[in-house]
Amino acid sequence: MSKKEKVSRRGFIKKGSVGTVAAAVSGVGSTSGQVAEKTLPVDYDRTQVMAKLGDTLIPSSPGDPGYKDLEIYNITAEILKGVGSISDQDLVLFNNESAVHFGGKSFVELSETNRADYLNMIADGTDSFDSQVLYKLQSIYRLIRARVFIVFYQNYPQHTIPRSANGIPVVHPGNDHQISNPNQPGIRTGWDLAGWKGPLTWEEEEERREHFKKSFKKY
Amino acid sequence: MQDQHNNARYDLIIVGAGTSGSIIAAHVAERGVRARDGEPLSILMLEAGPYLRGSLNPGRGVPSRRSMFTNISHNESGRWVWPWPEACKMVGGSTMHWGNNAYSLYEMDHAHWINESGVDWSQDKFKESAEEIVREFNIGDIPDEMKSPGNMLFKETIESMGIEPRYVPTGRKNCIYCGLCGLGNFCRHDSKPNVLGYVARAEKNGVKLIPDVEVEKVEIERKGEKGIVRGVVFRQQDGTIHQAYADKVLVSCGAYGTPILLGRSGYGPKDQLGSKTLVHNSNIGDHLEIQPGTSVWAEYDFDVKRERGAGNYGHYFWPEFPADGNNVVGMRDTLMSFPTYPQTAALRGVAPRFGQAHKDYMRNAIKRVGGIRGSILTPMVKGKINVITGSTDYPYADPTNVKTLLWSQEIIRDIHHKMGAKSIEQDNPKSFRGGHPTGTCRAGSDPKESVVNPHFESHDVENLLICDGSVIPRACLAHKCIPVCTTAAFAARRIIADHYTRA
Repeated sequence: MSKKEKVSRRGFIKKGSVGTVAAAVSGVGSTSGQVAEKTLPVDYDRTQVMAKLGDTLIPSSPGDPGYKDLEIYNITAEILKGVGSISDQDLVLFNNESAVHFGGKSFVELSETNRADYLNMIADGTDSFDSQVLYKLQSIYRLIRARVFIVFYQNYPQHTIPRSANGIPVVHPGNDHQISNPNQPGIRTGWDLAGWKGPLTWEEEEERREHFKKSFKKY
Repeated sequence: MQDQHNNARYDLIIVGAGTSGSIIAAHVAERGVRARDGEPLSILMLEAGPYLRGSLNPGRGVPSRRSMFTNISHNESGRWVWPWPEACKMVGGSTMHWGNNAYSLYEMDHAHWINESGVDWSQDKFKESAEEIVREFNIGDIPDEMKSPGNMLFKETIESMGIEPRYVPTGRKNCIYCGLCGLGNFCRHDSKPNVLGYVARAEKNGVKLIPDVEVEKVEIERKGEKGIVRGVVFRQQDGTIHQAYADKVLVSCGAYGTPILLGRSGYGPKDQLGSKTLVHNSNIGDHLEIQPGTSVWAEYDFDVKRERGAGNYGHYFWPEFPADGNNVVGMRDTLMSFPTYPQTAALRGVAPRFGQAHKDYMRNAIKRVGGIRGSILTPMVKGKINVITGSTDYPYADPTNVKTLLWSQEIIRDIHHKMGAKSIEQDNPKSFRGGHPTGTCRAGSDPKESVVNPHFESHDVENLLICDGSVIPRACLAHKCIPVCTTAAFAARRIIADHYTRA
């Protein structure tokens, strides 16, 4: 696509984009659902946009699981819980703005490579975006990026330990040492990818106690 | 109201079983007596948070605390956290729940206090209390074997720059160096220098401790232009309101909590309390000092951190030390010690944006991404707390602070570069966050400039005592943890001598 073509298409869609930003801004204070009812495209799917974003941020490949492999544990639903401040209007803008630069295709329709190119364009802040649109896209990108990385690398879906109504951790009977590392074998999580092993095991603790008992007379 | 708590009368009520309240309670209960007849004191201590009880087993931890504190950080502790920053509600408090560093007060800190507000708190007068705290928390250097490669490299690098590194002292009573406290987690081994030992001593000597109750207000009656304390009103979790009376009330709710409680009690600045003012003092909530800081992270192509556990700190230095000791920056290799949490490493400025490159970076990041932190220990700007709303007004973007911290960042980047970093964060924020609040009910000799006198007695309200981070007149080179503990140990001695020694 030539630069001229880009600008031309941009000019065409810009009207719609700016209008969307304005609608989003004016929609502050109302729920995204209320605003969305009237103006959202029929094929818009908030979950799908978020899932594609997650897959772009932490890709999967054979033998090297990533975000997509945790979809069976509803990772996108978990992501969505923390991005309520992004209205549907804003996400529509994010999804549709790629059409200006990638042959009319929305973000969810792009190939993996083009999705990455689009995110890089946003992060770079290239001047092919309208400044208002760019500001909005960058805010969306930053927020979702942070949310996806935090959820994934906090070891989703093994990020919590079961707790009682009073917040007291529930440990298995016989777990006398209250070892409650939430990470368990079987699912390749963010902790596994990063090599994070969680708190010390009881055996590690005992070994260290013995060691420092010798080292410090005040032990 | 028909219940065991209501309308009871005590010699002393302590509000807050955190660091200061617990230290003072233990001392006063052990050695204090009623001045008029030499009888043991009746003391009630109230705490808004839970009391996770159990036999103290330092190094292994109370089972209830062990299970509770796994995978739960200071900021994640939910119902135990007050709306204001850096304050948890729990018997034993939260002052020492970060990283375990334990700088004892420097001579310059005492000089600053005396110069700032006229207190007579010299190093000599604090000597016994300072020694007690060092002994109690077993403060010393981290053994080199528990330092990370990054800690040692930092030391060698600053030495090569002609700077003499100082060891970061830490409380290491029974510490097994798991490293999690440096990530903000509570200590599940009860090895950190917490005050549970003081709590146990207080209870052993008859202090009645009621957890899970929130003090609504200190009962103050007008007495001419001033006031006199009558007791406290507190609320249990089920909503039941109680009243207890006392000859004296000690408020130890922390640098944010204390001015807010006093404000709720009608004691504070008239311009905030309006018609609810019982006793005016414009210094309540004022003179807030915070130690703003900055961290610069870098990625190395070799391991700078230990894989399992760490000592949390290594070394520090002051790049410049003006003769007046003001605006001193402390730089330390704290973020070079413990493995970086994956979610933290994922969002550092040295991380690739996303995709396969980010994923590959993450495979080594917890051991190869480390930071160096600089904080203005003795800043020259102050803020305030609104005693009604609890909102903090601190000029984080003050030009002096920003200039100093940007300068600090350049020094840190230079150190990273000399240490052989592969890439270094380059962001230059416009304002910098910090912690260690002090000064919001500061002690001083002049009632117009302070809230309590050097004996921890309110200038304006008879029988009201205050001791916690709020009374500290100036931010300290020694950060905040040990200054608060030492001041509490000193306050206990003064309070016993002034009020609880047989006449």
